[in-house]
Amino acid sequence: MRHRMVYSFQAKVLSMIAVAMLALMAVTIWVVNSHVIEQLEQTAAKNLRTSDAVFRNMQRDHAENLLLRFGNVPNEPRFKAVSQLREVNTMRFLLKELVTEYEVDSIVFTTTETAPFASVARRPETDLRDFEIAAQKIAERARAGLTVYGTDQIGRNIYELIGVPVVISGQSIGVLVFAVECGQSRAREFHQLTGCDVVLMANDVVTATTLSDPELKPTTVREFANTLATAGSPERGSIEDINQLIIGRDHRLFVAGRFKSATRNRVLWYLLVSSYESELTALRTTQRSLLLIGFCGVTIAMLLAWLLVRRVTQPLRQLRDISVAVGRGDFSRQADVQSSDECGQLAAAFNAMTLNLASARQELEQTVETLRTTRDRLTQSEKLSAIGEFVAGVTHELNNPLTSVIGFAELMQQSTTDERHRRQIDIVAREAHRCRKIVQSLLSFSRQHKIERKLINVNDVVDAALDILQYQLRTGNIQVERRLSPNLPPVLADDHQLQQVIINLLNNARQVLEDRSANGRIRIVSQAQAGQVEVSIQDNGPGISSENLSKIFAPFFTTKEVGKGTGLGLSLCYGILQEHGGTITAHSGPGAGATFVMTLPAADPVVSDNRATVPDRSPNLNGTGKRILIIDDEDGILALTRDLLLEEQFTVETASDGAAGLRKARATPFDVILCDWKMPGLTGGQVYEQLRRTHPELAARMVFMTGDVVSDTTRQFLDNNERACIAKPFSIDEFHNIIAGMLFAHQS
Amino acid sequence: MMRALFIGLLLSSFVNAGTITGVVKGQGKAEAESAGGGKYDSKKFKFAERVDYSQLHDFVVYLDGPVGAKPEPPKAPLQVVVQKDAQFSPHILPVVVGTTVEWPNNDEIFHNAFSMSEPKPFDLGLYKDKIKKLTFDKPGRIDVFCSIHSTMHCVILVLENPFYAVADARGRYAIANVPAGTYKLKAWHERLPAQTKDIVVPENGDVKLDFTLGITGLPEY
Repeated sequence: MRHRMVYSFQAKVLSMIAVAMLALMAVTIWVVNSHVIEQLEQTAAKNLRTSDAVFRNMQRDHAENLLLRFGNVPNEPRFKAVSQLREVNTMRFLLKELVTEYEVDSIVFTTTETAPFASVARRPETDLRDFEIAAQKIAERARAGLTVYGTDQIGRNIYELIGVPVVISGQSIGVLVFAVECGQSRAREFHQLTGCDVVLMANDVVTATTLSDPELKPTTVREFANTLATAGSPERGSIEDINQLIIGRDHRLFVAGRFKSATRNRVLWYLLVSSYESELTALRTTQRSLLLIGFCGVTIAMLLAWLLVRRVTQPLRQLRDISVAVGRGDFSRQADVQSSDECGQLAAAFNAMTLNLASARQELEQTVETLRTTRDRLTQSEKLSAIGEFVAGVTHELNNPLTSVIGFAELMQQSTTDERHRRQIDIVAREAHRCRKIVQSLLSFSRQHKIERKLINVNDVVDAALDILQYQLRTGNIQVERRLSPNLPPVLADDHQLQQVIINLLNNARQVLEDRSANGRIRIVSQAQAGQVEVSIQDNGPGISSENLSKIFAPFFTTKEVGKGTGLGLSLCYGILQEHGGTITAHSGPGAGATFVMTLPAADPVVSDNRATVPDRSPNLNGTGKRILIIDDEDGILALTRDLLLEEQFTVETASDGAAGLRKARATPFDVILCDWKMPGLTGGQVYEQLRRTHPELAARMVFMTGDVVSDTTRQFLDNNERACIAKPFSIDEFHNIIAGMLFAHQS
Repeated sequence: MMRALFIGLLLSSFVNAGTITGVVKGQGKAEAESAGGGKYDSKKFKFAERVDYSQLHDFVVYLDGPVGAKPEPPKAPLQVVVQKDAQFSPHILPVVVGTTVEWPNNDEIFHNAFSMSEPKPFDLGLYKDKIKKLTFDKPGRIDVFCSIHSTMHCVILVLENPFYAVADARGRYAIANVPAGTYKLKAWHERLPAQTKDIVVPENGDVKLDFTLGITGLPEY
């Protein structure tokens, strides 16, 4: 396919050139040929006319010559003497001598009108009768006293006859007639003179010719005869028409004319035949050599054209090969730029394009790789997020029973006096608290929550993080060196985010050290420094290579294997610290482990959270005369909270669903309404909304218990209405605090 | 026309007489012979007719001038020139002064014999079936023609003494009975310059003298 294309391009160019050249050559040769042939014919015709004129002139001169030659013969003394003798033998002898002397073919001396006196022929075999008859005709005309010229056919030949009257002493005694053959010798003479062939014809019979026998076939003679038969009037000297004739393979022209002065009614013709075959042959030879030269020229031109086309298409073919290679993906090939013409420019452009393509392809591959990694990580994130939600659901379910366990355990702690029971209950309470912490940690880790800045002690965050990772660190054989400065100024920060940062950093260190699986050590240092709180987490792992060091905070950069890390951790950390006006930097030397240092600006001590003003504990939580409505679908919670409140002398009403609670609330006023958030039927939010419409002062006294605060809408609602809320599971203290807070707020 | 040796009959009775023999021939100049047509090396030969010398005949050798007393013309046999086949025969006829020659016409056509030569101008007229006679009484060369036949020609050489001979076909001649003495011997041909040589004829015996006639013998001029 490819090759056919290439050759067809070359073939196209070559065939066009070939056709053009051949056509040019053919037209040229045709034009020249026709022109030259026409000219040849014209020249030949002209020559023939000239020859005709020469022939006629020659005949005339010849006739005059003969008249001059023979006019004086009768005056010769010999002839005079003999003619007076009137003796036949003597006369015949003399005539014989004259025939030899004058080189004529025959002489007839006639004295009477009926029979000749004496007649002599040069050739003894000649039949003299014919001569005598012809001589009589001439003699008739000569008897008048003038010499007469005439032509006649005698035997098979044409003769010129000259009649000379013989006058002796004023008396005409006879006529002397000389016969000269106008035949082969005359024809040859003329042929030598002009080069024309001569055919003499008498009554359609050839009498003399310079044409050879093979040339003069009977058909040719017939053709002559036909031409002569259709020729013009006998009076005309010659036929004007030049006639074409082909003898054998020769092209000839001929012209015909009559002999004048025929003595009898005979038709004597001469034909002049001129061949222009030699010119035609020369022309054909020239044509052949022209053709040969032409073909050679065409061949050479084709060869040159082919070379040229090859040369022109050579860069194209190279480009084609390279294009094919590039098409396969081999970008290493480059076209040789050999010239500065269009091909060279094309090659240069092609090279540039190849380079661009190569880099674009590289970029594309990188991008695809990045996208693939991103997709994997997003999948992982999604999975994690799903796990988060799952964890949230599970922990929520755990919250309610845990609340009951903790609450009742604490109640029992307060109420029991038995030392042994007390110790056991302490263990239950402690372990329940531990469960609560775990659940809280899980919740807070999986929870998406609004950034909430408050004054916090960074050490607390570090401890919380260490608490969460305690198990993994311990099982990973990692020693944690904890050097926390006790005099840290508080920072204004979101503790969850900060915790996430520290957990991320600790996790990274742990994963690195776990891979080492020997002598893993993490050192956490916190210190106050020039209005800043600095926390550094240092590990004794392999460290970070300097090339990776600059990239580790980039999103999705990870050195962990796929599935183990998202590459988002450090970038998240970076983003969090930026938001907090802090910094995070990484330091590492090869083999010297990695150190991440985060700084946070110390908080202005004046700034304080209003919630912090809420007293931690109201020692005099006295429920006497105070009415509290508890709305919860969980019997355990209802029982616990009622017991806790009854303990403090509150008047407690309970409702197991929203609708019942709403009825009770509307029926009688309460000091505090404690309401679960998530309930079948009316939810806590709906209860609040309905109550607010009818009893806004009651609605303001509502406190919500939540299993979780994951839901954004919940969070939104609580924030918008500035509603107090206690997360399950809660400790008794927390419970007391929130109730006390609510009472305190509505003390008036 | 081959001729036998002619000997003067009248002198056969002389006692003190010798015989002259020899060969006479014609020869051209060697260079001229081989030069080919018209390419003569000298102006001298420019107009000379090319002749086949080897074929020349009818040489006549005779003693120049009168010898002894005036000779008597022979009575018989008569010298004859025949006209036959439009030719005179013989072509060359040497005779002694005073000889009468007969001119018979043996052809069937008319002939004529005439001469314009100074020693004997004559015209016998056209005749047939007749014999005409003519006597030559002055020495010299007489060219005879026929008025109506241009090819007819003969020469009558009239000599002053009878000591002459016509060479045979091979050029040999012999003049017998020449009286002893010193003479001028002349070799003659109608177309070549004659040559004269001195000769001493002994009283008895032969004397030999050869002649070569030709264009070489042309006089200087």
